[in-house]
Amino acid sequence: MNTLSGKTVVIVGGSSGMGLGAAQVAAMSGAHVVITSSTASKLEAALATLHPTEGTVKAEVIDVLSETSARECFARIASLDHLFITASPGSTGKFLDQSVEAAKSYMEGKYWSTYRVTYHAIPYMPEESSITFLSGGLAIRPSPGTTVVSSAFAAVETLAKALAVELSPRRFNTIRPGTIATDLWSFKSEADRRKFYEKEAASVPVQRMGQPTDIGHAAVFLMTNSFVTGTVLEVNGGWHLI
Amino acid sequence: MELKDKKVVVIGGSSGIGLAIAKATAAVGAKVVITGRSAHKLEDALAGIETNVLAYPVDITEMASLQDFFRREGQVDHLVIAGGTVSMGGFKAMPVADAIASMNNKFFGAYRTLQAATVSPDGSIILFSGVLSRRSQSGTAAIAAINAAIEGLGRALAVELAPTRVNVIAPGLVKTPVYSNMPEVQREALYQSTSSSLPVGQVGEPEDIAAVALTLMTNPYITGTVIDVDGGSLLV
Repeated sequence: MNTLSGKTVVIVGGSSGMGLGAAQVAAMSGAHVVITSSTASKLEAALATLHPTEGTVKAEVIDVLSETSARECFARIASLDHLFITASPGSTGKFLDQSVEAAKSYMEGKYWSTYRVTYHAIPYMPEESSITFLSGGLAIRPSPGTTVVSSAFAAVETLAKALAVELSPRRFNTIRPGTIATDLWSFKSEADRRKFYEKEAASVPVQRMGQPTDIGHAAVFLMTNSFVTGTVLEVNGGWHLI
Repeated sequence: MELKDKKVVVIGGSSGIGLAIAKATAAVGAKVVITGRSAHKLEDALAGIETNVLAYPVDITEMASLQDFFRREGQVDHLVIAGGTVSMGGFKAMPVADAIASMNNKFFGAYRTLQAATVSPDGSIILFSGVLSRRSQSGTAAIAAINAAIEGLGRALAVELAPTRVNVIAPGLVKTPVYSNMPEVQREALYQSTSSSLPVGQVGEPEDIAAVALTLMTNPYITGTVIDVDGGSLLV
């Protein structure tokens, strides 16, 4: 049975949200965990929440928008077995309300950052390794104002499939999360947020909100099951059925 | 590929989507045969069509009935299976016998029909599933499973019966007599709420589905597909 004992897991965007959830589960599964993010102070705070069972935890600063930063970050890490890329800087707007340049910047932050990070990480990864991307339900069910997000998510899912073929036997998969209780929603007041979470929970078959560690468990599963590649894994409480 | 003088059989052709397909294919010169269980519904259907259409009562739950029918008809160019009554109801509440009967009507109805029929190698077969094969609602467990099974059957037969082409149409909400048992107010409310939730802002008409069926009959490069004709149901 393949476990994470002795393996190095790098989570890009690991200082908060789903990335941090994955870092927590990987640390509990015995991995050496490296979390990366653009902000050193956020990394410090995140490290304090990781409880490694037998491995180590450390942090590296990365600017996923920068080719140089990505190259240097992985040169410092030097060796890794599993990579999970959650970082996606950028914002979105309605198709006709935002400029093409603004739309391109989201694609840059989500799709090209995923591409860039993978490109610079691969030289340090053995053949028996895995890379996991993150998309979202908007890839299959867009809502108004999410054109470029939906497109970027679909592009990321397809990138994983294409790389699963081209860079085999390395494995590439994508997690497609539902609504997860992360600080993405911190712009809402606490009362509004609670109401939103209740509504989201009531709308899915499992009748609860998704937690960052739910995504973490899925990420560790994709890292440790060596026969899974090229898939999109729905982790959304059954949202895709309703 | 033209439909003129081609033989088209529409199982379940006396009303709704099946009838719309019969009319559309007859209108472009096909020789059409519609079947249904009820002789008098078939007569009503014929009364609404100008030419080119014959009607026979066939019970798709009876192999003998299907074999008699296809022995008489010989080889068919295009076979459309639109029939098959199904029961809806809460999973715990609906008797298993009703679910089995639904499977026997819709899935095995199609299965039997395809075993009894001889379809031309350059012809096609069209089956019907529905949006419920992939989107769930309470009270639709049996029909969801049946629709998914039909999609699987379509893919399998597209390989086994090749070069005859086999495709599945998955309609969303379409205005058909299926809803005629509903009180009118409730029916209109259903059409209204569905219309406003869909990207296209309207529910389907039987003619919308018939137009797709014509495409599937005449395009020689489409096989093994499930075509969603649902106003965007899967996106919302």
